[in-house]
Amino acid sequence: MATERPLLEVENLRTYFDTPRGILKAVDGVSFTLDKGETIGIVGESGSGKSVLVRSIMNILTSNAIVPDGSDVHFDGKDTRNLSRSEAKHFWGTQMAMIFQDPMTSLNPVKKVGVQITESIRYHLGASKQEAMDRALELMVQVGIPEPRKRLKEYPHQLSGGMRQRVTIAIALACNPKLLIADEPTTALDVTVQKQILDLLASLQEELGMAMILITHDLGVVAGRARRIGVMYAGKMVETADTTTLFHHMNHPYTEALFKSIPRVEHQSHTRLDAISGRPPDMVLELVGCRFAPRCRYAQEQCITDEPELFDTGQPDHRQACFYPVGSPENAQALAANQETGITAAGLDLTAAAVS
Amino acid sequence: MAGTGKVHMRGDDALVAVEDLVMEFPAGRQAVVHAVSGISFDILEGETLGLVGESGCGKSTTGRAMMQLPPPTAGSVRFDGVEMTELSKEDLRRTRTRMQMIFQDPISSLNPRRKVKDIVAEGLSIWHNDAGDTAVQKVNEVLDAVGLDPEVVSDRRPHQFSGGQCQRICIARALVLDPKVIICDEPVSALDVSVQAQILNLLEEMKERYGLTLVFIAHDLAVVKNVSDRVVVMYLGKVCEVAGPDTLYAHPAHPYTDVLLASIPEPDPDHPVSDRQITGELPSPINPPSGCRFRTRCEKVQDLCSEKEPVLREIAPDHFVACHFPNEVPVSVNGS
Repeated sequence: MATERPLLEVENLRTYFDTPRGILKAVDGVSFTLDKGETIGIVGESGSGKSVLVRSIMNILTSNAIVPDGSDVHFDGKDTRNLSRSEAKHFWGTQMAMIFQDPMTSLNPVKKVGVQITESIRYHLGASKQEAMDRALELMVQVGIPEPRKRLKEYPHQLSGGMRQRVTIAIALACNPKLLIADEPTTALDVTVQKQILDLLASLQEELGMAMILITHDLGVVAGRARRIGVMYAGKMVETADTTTLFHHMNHPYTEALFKSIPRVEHQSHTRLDAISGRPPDMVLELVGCRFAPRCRYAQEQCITDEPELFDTGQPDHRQACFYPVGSPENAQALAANQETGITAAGLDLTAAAVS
Repeated sequence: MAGTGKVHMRGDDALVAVEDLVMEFPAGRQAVVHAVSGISFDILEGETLGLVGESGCGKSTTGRAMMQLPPPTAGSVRFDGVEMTELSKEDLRRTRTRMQMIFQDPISSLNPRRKVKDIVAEGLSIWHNDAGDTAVQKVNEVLDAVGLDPEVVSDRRPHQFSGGQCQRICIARALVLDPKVIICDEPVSALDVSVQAQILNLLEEMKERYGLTLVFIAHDLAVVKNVSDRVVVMYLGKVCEVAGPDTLYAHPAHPYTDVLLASIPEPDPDHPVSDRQITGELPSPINPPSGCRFRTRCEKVQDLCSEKEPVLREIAPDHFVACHFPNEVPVSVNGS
């Protein structure tokens, strides 16, 4: 437990979007803190609000976004939402930086790699052209790009996917940010390259003492990388814990379901995967009860009417939001009751649930 | 690693036999991209063959060359007794109805302006002139089989569906002509793990229900292992190792297979992150390394590796490797 104030404090953050179909509640009350130099993994499916969450933290939302009062984001003691435009410009890059999923679309295809890396160094740090180039070269070496001098003069299309992602990391690190946000940094890459990039991020983080938010849909990616994990579903955190606790005492049915859907190499081939049936809810609708209930094998009457809040499980630093946590006797009873009728209280057919 | 060996071929029983497949593309100034350099494999009826390797190893090119899209530079593709490379244009068109493909990005492989029922029915309307009730029935049947409600989805367009649902539509489209073989080119790489599991399960079901033979191309060995009966590990246009999926996991013989296995992220915090990492970049396929193509990134490299190309050989029953210095494999173990 850190005695000093955490680097990042997010309190009841809500981000809504005004869409033609109505108000879309992409993030609906998320709180967490992040200490200096710490890594938190945020895990969830597409559409669970993970990317909107970090964009809200960085304050780079589109113009139709609404952040209701009471949502607080404090970074290093400062409220990021009150920054003026000019303050914000030097805030991004020097304090917080972000890397995105697809390195091809986040790099400018018509500018040389060197120009793209030096741009922020010159802008934020007021470095001369030569100083910036020297720094860029240093960064290229740091992120493990072979022949860095030659690569600086190349265009993104001349690099492989892994190399491009290394370049975006170099750009993000150019001004020594205190927090690096990695939004699905390896989803577009091969497993072998994914491992290289994750190893690189881990070693850079140790070297530079940055904090990191690692976003992914794959629990396997964060298992060995993050100290803490937050699992998000439909705009809410449903379980947060330190990594070891989360994997050993998985409480929320959604966390369990995500975990079970990973094909494990240790298993016999043709092992049937426990896929999660259905899809996340439409966030424009008014949602009542537990948002995961329609897809949950354990759903009971209470799950449809009452919305569970995050509460402490008794394990240190472990919170979860389920009335029938996995591993509890209530959970076993709930499953038994559902299996007997063959259908959950929310109408999920357990016999067909195995199908899709 | 050579692909020149053919000891792993299983003779005349195979439904599809690919031999000495070479695929080269001109790259300007007399340079040639050696995408696939003489690989051979066969597929038995009802089997799922996994092709695994990194981007640029030629696995997709191999899948497409089987469909003659475009025809390979050299080599033979025999499908159900027919030599695909020698077919006339019209015969090839007819043969292709029995060999279908599913692609990586489900959203971009569907025409955004067409309705789902028209997308799925297109094959039927080309090949069977019965555009009436039987076609509608068939379309409804396959949509239902892939887990989409025909009444709800028929009149919608692709943008109204999620990635996983679009992949289901692609699978329905591939199924509608009752193919024998479906080539799945990275069908789950663009999907979330939760949706990935749904699609993998669906493919297994469809295989059972329609008696399909599958070629499953992917870069993630964990995914390939889950669905395959036999796995071919590829690197830079060559075959490294051929074995049953469980054998391959338990006793990887090729150093490259080791690396692929070590790269799989383990969803277990107590499992230490392997410090084994592939070093360097994939060499250019325009100028591939001499001898074993993996030697530039291999931990076990010796002088022999640059001088002589290793040939595929059987090191245990139904376990083949193309490496001069493979890992020890217990010979008594009988895989899969």
